[in-house]
Amino acid sequence: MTDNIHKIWQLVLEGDHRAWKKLVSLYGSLVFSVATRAGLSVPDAEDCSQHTWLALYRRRKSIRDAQSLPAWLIRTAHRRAIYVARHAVKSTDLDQTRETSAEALPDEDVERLESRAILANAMSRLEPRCRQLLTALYFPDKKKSYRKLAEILGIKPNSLGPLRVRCLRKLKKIMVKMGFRRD
Amino acid sequence: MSPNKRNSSRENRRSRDRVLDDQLDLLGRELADAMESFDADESLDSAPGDMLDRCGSIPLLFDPPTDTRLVDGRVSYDSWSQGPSVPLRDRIDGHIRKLRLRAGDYQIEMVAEKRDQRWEFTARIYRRERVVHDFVLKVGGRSLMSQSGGFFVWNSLHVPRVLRAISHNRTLEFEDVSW
Repeated sequence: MTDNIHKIWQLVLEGDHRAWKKLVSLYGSLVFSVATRAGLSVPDAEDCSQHTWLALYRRRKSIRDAQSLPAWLIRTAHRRAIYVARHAVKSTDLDQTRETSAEALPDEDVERLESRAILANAMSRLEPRCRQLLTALYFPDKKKSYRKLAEILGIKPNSLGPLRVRCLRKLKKIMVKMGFRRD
Repeated sequence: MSPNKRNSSRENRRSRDRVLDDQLDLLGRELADAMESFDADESLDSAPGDMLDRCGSIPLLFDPPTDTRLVDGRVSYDSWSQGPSVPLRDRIDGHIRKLRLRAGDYQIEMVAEKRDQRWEFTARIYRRERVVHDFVLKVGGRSLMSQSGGFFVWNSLHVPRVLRAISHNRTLEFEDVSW
């Protein structure tokens, strides 16, 4: 199954159930995280996630731009999460869909979450060495000294710079392939 | 290494890093900047695998496949077939019924309870004693997906005579369930 979001979405619109499962696997953690960050318990966050995915499936034919999917999922999950948090209601019965009037998530929060999810998906497709290097270099809780990092990777410290460039290029290539960057 | 040599080495590294930074094209730098800006607490929470299975089965509610392997099932246990329960401390469980439906490796454990004029049902699907989460349940005209923990919960005025559990590659069919 392709990693390209545009192809995946086209297949979903054509009724391909495997493509739908792929989409869920790509953004399941994003949707779940929106719910947990709104303060929901794990069972309520799961119900919120299911509601969000159900809403997407029902409205799929009205969404033409696959690149807008992450933001759509974030906003929908957030609205539902706020509603659940306020009303302590959960429903997965098809007949009980409710509209909410909860406040919207600010655009910059949506963009931030969206970027995080896209990057996480792309990073998971990097070879382990590059993933380890970029995670260590860029994620604050995992930062290590150059010397320590070189030791872990089994290379000389002055090779880290060129390796960083190669890995960032590979990451960019993956994101282009996934349909989130232009080459 | 002498201090002078150490400083020179550091300068060389910084200069090399600058050269390498220049080699990163604009998008590469954007990526690096984006990654730099994330805080540790912005890591995404991993979605539970069984929840992903449930969400992955959503299309089955609307467009069930027609080419799945059909497995005919039967009632393998009925709590009412063992006679009425004995009231204990004035509590009568005559309106609670437990059924086990078996189809191949799969079984559905169901509890039906009558309250007022309605029946309330709870069911779970197992395969070899492990709860499975990638089925939807068709009961009468209704399509149901399970909740957290794999529980199907619904209520109705009537008891179901036909149940179907559908996954992407299998349909478990229980016809003429006698109540």
